[in-house]
Amino acid sequence: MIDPGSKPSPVSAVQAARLLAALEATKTAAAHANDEQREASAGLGRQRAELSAVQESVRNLVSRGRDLRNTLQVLRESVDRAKLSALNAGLEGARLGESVGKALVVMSDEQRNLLARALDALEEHGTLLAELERERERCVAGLSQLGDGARQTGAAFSRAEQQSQLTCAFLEQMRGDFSELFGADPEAARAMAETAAHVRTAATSLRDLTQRAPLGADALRELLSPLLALIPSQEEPRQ
Amino acid sequence: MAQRAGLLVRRGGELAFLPASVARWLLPLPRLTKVPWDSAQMALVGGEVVAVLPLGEPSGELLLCELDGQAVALSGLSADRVGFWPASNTGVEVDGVAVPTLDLSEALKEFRSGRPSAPEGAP
Repeated sequence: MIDPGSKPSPVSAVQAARLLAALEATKTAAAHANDEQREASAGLGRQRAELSAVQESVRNLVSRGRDLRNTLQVLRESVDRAKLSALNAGLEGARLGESVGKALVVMSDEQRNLLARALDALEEHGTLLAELERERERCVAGLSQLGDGARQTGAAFSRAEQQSQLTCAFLEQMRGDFSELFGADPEAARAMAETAAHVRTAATSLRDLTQRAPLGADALRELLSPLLALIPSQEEPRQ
Repeated sequence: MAQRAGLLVRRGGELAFLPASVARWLLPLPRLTKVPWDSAQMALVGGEVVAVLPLGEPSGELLLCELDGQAVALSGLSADRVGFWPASNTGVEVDGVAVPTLDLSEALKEFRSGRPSAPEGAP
């Protein structure tokens, strides 16, 4: 347990500076991640709105398809009746006899042929419409799945955003606790870390100098000894 | 060869001939009403009640005929075409194929013999 009242040792100050820098970087990254998530969530919301519009269009398509089918049924009935009318005209012509009614019978037969073609075309339209309806059903099912997926993704984004906010809050709390333990001024801790790095460099230079000019090195070591005491033992120059 | 005028109908996929003197009018199948305690069916055609002889599965058409001065309607037939065709022994010859005349008297006889007996207590 660290006593908040005690002054940090130089080593712990270096580590504290590193930790603080890492903490701040983590917090910045978490904040950026939070922003990205919020933006992605907003984008997803827009996509869901567009998906809803497409689903509405498909629903309208269902209604239009029903109208088309009804119209097709009316057309089929009308052509059927027209065919019966043509046959009735032919029957009248047949009753009149070949010499008088032949023309009427021929006309009626021609009409019947044309109407039979119209009926065939209507049947084909009915088949095409049925195929379109099957395609539309597949679209409806696909859109429904997409909607479910978008809803689940939206919920996941929402949970991630909450977690991200919690992480930011937690990191902020850690930073506060950290400052309380290792000093309120993170800049000072950072400066201390930089100084330690410089001292470490000086120690390395001193080690080289010891090998090349032992007397001068001894004099310098005497001068630098208070500083060398501040850096970790593994960084001490080898004797 | 003598020509016969009339209507070709399909009855269960088979072609049959009806003379123009018998076949009067084709109309969409109206609502048919069964006569109580009888297999007979009735339809209202042009304001008149006519007996309906079912000769097959409903086809959506009703053929109004005249038999011995009586109106009778036939259901279960599908009208094919009208015309003049050479007469044959059993009916007419259509594109080299003999098409028999639809025997309505036989159909009427079957219709009458197939009538179920009235249940006890029936009026």
